[in-house]
Amino acid sequence: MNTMDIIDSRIDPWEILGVSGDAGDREIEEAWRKRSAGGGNRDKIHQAYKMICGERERAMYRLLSPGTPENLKDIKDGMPLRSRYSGPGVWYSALKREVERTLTDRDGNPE
Amino acid sequence: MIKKINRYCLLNDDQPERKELFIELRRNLYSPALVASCDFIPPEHPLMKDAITLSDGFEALTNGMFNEEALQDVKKISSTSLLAPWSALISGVHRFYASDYEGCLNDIEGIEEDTAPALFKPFFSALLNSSGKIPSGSIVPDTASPEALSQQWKELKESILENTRVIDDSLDLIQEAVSMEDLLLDTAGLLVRDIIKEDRESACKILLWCFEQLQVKDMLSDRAVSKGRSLFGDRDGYRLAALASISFDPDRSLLYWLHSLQAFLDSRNTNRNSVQAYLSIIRDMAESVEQEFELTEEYIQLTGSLVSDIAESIGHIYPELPETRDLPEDPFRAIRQLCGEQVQPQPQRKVREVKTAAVQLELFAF
Repeated sequence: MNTMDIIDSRIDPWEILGVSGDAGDREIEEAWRKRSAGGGNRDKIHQAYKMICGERERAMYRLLSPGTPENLKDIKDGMPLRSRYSGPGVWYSALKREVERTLTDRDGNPE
Repeated sequence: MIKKINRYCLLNDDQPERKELFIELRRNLYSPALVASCDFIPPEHPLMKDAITLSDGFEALTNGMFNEEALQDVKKISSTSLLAPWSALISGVHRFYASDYEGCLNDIEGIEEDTAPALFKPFFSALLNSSGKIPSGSIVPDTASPEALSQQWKELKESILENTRVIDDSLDLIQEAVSMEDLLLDTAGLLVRDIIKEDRESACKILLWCFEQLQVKDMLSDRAVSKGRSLFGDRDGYRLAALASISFDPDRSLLYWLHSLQAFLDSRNTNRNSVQAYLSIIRDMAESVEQEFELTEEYIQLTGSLVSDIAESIGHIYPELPETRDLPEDPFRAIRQLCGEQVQPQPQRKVREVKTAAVQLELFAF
């Protein structure tokens, strides 16, 4: 596939093939065969496979990524959650209250 | 609860009361640390060993000190242990902190039903599904909205997630600054600096979006490209400029790709697949530029200079490659040769008379 084909495709080949970003050639080929045999849009599955079937192709796709986002909201939605380390106490405390609530709901009699 | 743990430890495996307590404790035991704090359980007791592994692991995990070794220890907890459901919970929380949200939900959904850790299922389901972090195909049904969560889960959510209001406000400011280049680049620069370490992809997208907005109005300015280079380094700064101009200004995009490749080669941290991927893109761009544009002699000379430097760097790093030797003078033929293609005799190319520089000279300064 040439550069503009990849730019214009606007697909995530890893997602279409259902493989992780660090999948190797063999895993990708197996996923392609499995998905092709399982129905679905075969053209799209094949296109996704061609995009990432080898290391060079994957490097090319990554160089051409990310595609230009449509709007800032899409970017925001795609951002990972900004997690914070706050110790085990908040987890235990929340669970304790949920356990107590469940007991109350079940028996009307918290321990 | 402590009395029940004590009673559970005193009973033999085959006593019916122990089985009843097992079910009750699995359902109500809200912390492995509670078991670990029970002085009456000897240190060599399997339950105490499991409790210490899990409570230490969970404490390290939720304080950002978890490592693979600790995770493996947690996974070794027997499925018959009173505390086994905590192993799956810790694995899920580990994936949550690693931003593997799909894996997190899978682990959490796999927690045995009717156990205390299983009570986290609606919490994670609401947190991840409704925030759009999971591909639609894997969304767990009956997802509660975060607003519908009970108070304790809302408090937990606030404790484990950073407030995203700063990002929302920054994105609003970027949107408002779209018609003012300086303000747009400065505002975007502040946000990009804030998130680039933990979320480089979103940072790239933000700058790319800004570049696209600037391109719609005019060509990408040197200031914009410099901003990209200062934020992302030369390689990615030029690459993002190349991506942004690929449809609007293919001739400029070609030059940015060449600069990006040169920066990559200068980093001395290359691999052949990436270099070849770069060359494939550059070949495609060069082909399009050569066919569609009437190029100035100046542009051809400057392109030739960049290609020649790149060929020299590639030859230096990969001396076994014959393509870098005896390059044709014409940069477009040289690019094809670098891609390993048979180079045909040079066609007659139309060259435009130069009056003013078609491309800003600053682009070519390393």
